[in-house]
Amino acid sequence: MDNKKLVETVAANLGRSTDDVSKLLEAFAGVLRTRCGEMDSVIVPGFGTFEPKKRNERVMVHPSTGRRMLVPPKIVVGFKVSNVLKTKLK
Amino acid sequence: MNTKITFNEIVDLIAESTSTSKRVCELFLRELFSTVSQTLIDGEEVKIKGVGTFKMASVKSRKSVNVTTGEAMVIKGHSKITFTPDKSLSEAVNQPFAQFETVYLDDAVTDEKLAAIDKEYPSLFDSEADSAPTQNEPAPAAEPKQQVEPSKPVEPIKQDPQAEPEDHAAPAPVEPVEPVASDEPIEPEASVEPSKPAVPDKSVEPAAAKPVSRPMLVGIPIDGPTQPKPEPEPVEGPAEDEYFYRPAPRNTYTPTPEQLAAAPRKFDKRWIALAIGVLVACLLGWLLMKGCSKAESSSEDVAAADSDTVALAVEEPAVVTETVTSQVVLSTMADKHYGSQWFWVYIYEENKDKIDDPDNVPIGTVVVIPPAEKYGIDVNDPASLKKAQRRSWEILKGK
Repeated sequence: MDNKKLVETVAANLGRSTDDVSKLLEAFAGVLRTRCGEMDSVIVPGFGTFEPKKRNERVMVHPSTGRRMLVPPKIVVGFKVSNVLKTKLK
Repeated sequence: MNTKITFNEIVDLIAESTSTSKRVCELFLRELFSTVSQTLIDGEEVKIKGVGTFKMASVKSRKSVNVTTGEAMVIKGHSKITFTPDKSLSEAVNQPFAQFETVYLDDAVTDEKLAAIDKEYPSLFDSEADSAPTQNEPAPAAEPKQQVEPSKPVEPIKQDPQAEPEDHAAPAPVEPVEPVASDEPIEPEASVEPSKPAVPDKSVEPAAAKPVSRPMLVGIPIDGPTQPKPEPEPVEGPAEDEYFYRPAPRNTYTPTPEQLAAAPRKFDKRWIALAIGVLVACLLGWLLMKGCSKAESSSEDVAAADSDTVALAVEEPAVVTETVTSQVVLSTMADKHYGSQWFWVYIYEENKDKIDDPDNVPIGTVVVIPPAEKYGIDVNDPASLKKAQRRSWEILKGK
């Protein structure tokens, strides 16, 4: 399901226009961006948690050239599925 | 920082940014995630713009051993959800580290060397649990000489976001890394004006400058409670090392606002020189402008810093300002407005009266972004870049 279809489905279920819904969705993405950017985790009950994690820098070997390189540290967003959804999936 | 945002807070934030009612936002969020969950349960993947892609992945059943009894057992296959963040999201989140690139290590840097330096400076790393020692920080110390070539590559090595809290303590422990590297050349340089090089012997410098400068670039807010405020990340390029000690021609020196206040006339001359150099074609226009501003500054020149800033403000028709947040610091502003983070120094100089410590600018500070011509900022001009790098080093050193 792509973004467009998702917006349409949600809009139909809510009885609101797709414009409204995509605006709200964009706002949610914005919240996620700013909050996770500040290393806060965003919890959606019944769905899961978006949490930024820092990955340390590390030395790795280039698979094809065999040269060693230093990979810089980075922050990635992880997603932890909530138990509610996990059990539903089983 | 490191706080948990609950559902209600998300609702509040969305309601605020879209100016819709909380009720609507709440209904929307519930509907959104129940739709996403349902779709996932149906085995379909869901892509949300600006957030990412959720996918179902099946995990095969596998054999294992019961840890308590030691019996062999089979873990049943199940499905799990994987999440791949959208590019915009991961970039926004990784923004503090965005400027770093992967670097090839020199053969001279062995694991033993890395480990040895790790051991030597455990205090730099032990503060946070999740911040395992960043082994690589030591790398440059071990091999600055070999790593001459690419100027960028060394940067990534230099940062250790975790070391940040100990920022100020850091320089001390790092220096000893290179016993060869006497830091005398540095001392005079910092206290004397930038134009005066104190360079007894060049061979030593790269090594000396590197260890000292490294801790400074660490300024990245990463682990919340320890550093509530954003930090500019004045990254010291290695290029700067050889460059740094070279005599800077006097006329390229950038006067600080205070100095400008003291000598308004000199400043005008500088303006002209710049204008001629950069915009020969616009010379006439510049002269006119200069005339105006001169008249202005002479009329108010009794003045201290105040009148000076007024005069400056008159010269730049549209004053660009930015607000410091935990995401936006001096270096990111510089990157945005001038194309290179190095130019943060000029933003700092422009706003010296508001900023005590460029490494630690309070959130919410509104700073004025000076027009690029004012300080001769040109990202395509290596000389201008290097000048900024040198300035940043001086500022941080003198801090």
